[in-house]
Amino acid sequence: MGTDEPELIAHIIHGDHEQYRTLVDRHKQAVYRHCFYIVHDEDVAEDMAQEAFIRAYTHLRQYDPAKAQFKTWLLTIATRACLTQLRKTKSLPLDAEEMLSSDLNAEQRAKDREVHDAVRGLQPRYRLVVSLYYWRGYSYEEIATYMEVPVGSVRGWLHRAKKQLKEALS
Amino acid sequence: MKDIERRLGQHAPAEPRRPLSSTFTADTMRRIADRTRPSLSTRIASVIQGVPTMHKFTKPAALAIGLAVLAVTAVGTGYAALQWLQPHSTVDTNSITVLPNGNTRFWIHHDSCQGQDSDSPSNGYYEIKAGSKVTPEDLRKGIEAGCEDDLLQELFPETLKSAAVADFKPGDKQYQFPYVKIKAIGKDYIIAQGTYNGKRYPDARLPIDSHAKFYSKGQDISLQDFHPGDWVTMVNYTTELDRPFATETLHPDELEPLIENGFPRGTRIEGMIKRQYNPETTVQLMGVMGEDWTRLVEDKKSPDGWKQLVPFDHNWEHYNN
Repeated sequence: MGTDEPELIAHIIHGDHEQYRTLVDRHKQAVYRHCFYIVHDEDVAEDMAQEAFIRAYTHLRQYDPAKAQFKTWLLTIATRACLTQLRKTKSLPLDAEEMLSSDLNAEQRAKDREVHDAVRGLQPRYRLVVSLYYWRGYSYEEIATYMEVPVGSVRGWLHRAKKQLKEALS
Repeated sequence: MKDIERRLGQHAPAEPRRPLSSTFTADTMRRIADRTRPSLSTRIASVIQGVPTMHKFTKPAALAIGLAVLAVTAVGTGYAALQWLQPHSTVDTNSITVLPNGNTRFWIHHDSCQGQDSDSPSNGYYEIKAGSKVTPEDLRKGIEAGCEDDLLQELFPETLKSAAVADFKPGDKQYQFPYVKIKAIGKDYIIAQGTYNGKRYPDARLPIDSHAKFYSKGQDISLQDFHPGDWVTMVNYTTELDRPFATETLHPDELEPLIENGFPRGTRIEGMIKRQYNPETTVQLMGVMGEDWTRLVEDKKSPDGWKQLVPFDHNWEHYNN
C-alpha cells in the first residue's frame, strides 16, 4: 500500500489520468485474486477486476481517503461487481477442474468437487460470504466492509449458508 | 456444523492458475478511455461545429443540442443546407456511433441516387477518423459523392467506407456481440471456444456448410482461411424459413443456448457479406476473418479492442448473387 496514494489520486482527479496506470499496476493482482475467490473463474475474475478499476476510476471523486484505504474501497467495488455477476449468471459454468489442486488424488478431487458444487449451488451472497470467509480468509468485519452491510448480516448469511451446505452435503 | 466448516477448510479451491493477462493494465486504461470518451451527441456537436465538448449534458440533451447546432449550421450555409436536406442523401443520425477507437460512424442512405436504386453500394456506414476536422461542407460533398465510391474517396479522403456490426457503445460489454475463438477445424465445422456474457464455452461446435462462401475485403475466402486461434463473431441470424432474407440481431439470451448446445446442422458461418439462403438453415451466422484480424487475435483479451476492427459490410443484397 503506497502512502502516496491520496496525492496520486488527487493528481488523477485534477486531470493527470495516466497516473491511474500506477494504481492499476499496484493493485491489479489483489483485485484479481479477490474476484477469483468469489467467481471461481479466471476469465470472469479478470473481467470483474477490470470492471472494478473502471468503476473506481469513474467514481474516483467519491473516494474519501479518510474513510478507507484505496485498496479497501477498490475491493468493495470489485465485490459489488462480482456479486452482480453472480446474480446475473446465477451459476457460472464453472470449470471444476480449474478450481481443483493438481496434486490431489482422485478421491480427494471428488470430495473437493462435491464441496465446490454445493457452494456453487448457494444463492450469490451466501456463496460470496462462504468464499471470502473460508477460502479467502477474511474476517467478518472485512467481508461486511466489502459488501457494505452490517457485520450481523454477514454472520447471519454465513450461518444460513452453512446450514444449507449441511443439507446439500449430507 | 463443525463438520461443514472442516470440509470447507479442507477443500479450499486452488489458486488461480493463469496469471493476469500481461495487457491487463493497458486494456483497462484503454477501456477507461473508451468509457469516458465524450458521448455521441457531444461528439456530433464538437465534430461538426467545433464547439467544446459538453460532458455535463445528459445524452438526450446533448443530442438535442448537437442536432440544433447542425440545423442552424445547415440553414446558415444556404446551398449546403439544401443539399443536406435533400431526401436522396440523408444521414441517419440515429446510426451515428462513436466507436471504441474514437472514430465516428454514421449511416448514409441514398433513396434514389443518380438513377441507382436504394440498394446502391454506396449506401452504408462511413467513418470519420478520430480527431478529423470534418466540416458540414465535407459531409455534404461526401454525401453528394456517395453514389460513386471512388469519387467519395477522392473528395472525402478522411472518410472510410466501413461497416458496422451493431450499435454498441464504447466499453459496453452488455451489448457486445458474442465471439468465439476457433480451436479446431473439421471438414464442415469448427470447434470454438469463447467467453460470452461472462460465461465460458469451451467447445462450441459450429457446423459450416462446405459450400458456404466467405467474403473479406472484396475477396472470396474459404474455410481454409480460418485458422485455429482466429476469432469469429456471430451477428445475425434468421430462424423463420418464411423470412429468408430477414436478419435479426441476436439477443444474448437466445444465443446462449445455441452456443452451449451447439448449432443446428446446416448453420452457416459467413464471412462478412456473403449471405446464402438455405431452407435448412435455421441459424445464420457471420464470421469475420481476414488479414485485418491479426490484431484481433493478438488482442484477444480485449473485446473492446477488436470490435473496432470489424469490417462488416451492410449491403447484403449487393453480394447476394
